Amino acid sequence: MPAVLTPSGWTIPAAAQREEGGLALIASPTERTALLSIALIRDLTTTRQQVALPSGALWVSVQYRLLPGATAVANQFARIVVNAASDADANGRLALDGAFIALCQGDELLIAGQDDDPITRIDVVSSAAVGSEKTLLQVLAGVRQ
Amino acid sequence: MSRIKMGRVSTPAPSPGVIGWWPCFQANTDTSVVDVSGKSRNLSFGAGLTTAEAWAAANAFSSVDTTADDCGILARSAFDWDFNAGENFLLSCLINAAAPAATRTLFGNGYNSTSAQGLRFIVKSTGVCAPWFYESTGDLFLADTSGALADSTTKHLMFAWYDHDVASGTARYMIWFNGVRQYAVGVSASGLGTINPVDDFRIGGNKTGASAFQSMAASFSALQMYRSARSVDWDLERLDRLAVRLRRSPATPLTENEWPTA
Repeated sequence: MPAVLTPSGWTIPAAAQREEGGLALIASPTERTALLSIALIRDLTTTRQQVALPSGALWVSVQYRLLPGATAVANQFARIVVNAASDADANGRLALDGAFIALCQGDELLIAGQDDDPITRIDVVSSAAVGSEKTLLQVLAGVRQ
Repeated sequence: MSRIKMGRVSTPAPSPGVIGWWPCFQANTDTSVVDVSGKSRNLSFGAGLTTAEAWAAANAFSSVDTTADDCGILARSAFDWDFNAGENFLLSCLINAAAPAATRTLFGNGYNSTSAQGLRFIVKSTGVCAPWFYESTGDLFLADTSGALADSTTKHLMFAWYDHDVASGTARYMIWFNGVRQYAVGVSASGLGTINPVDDFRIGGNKTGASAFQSMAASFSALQMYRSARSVDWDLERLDRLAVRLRRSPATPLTENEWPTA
């Protein structure tokens, strides 16, 4: 399928299109065709954990949930850094407001990369020390084939 | 449940006017502070600075209060702000420092208006700071900030030099702590001459003689410096917005839209 030049002058690459009934439809960045990769992190703590996506993800969905029956911890949320350059870089960004994404319990983050600048790693910690809470953090990534 | 949905994200690319971009989020075994701007302007360690001292504070580069060059060093050729052409200059970083016992230098590449011209960004024992210039017309000790930078808390610092009219020898400058102006208005400097540095630019100290040094105890992170042509006309309100933006996201470099170069 050829690239499409829109009236406003933007070029939609072939990889971002799908065909249906003879019509070229443009997929949103988070609906791009990719292999599904799933990572689960139970009871996230303040110790950093990394989800490596070595082949590069075109989109990533992260959900952070307090599981049924668990007791919530005050002020708890997940801190997320995308595409850290190193472990030390991830540690620094996770410790600095404005450098990480905050994901509250019960919320979902949906983020898209680019063909030439995909998402290759996600680093996460919990913001507050974990008490008796039971949580699940799920990373669903659409990785390049 | 709510969904936070983003479009495509890209790795931030610094403005072409970047002098260097040093996040300082590094392993504690590293022997230099890595420049990730793409210009490979890594900071070497001063002769007295050990690896353990440099990375003593988590997620930051540290200098030590000594007379043994315990600071980070940016090579003179890499610090390419052209003061004599009237270029604009911006420095932004996070700093944690206690007030020194006596006046010390946070950043500097000069100490004498004839033999070692350059800039010193000093901190006094009260914690306030000021830009001092050693230039062809003599020593120029510019105004102290209204508040203290060095108070043992982590603060965001931004320093901007702009409106430099080389022909008339005038310029303006402003310092922000945590996005807040430290002078009521853009301060005017006059009687400016030329500066031709002979020494490297030091982070956490400066030279005080041909083979003499003075550094101060401070921790630095998210350090970034930029220059742009005099023709890029900055005003204080626009710089205020940059100060707030850099205070909010200090670890994201300024883009070309934020810091145009021409």
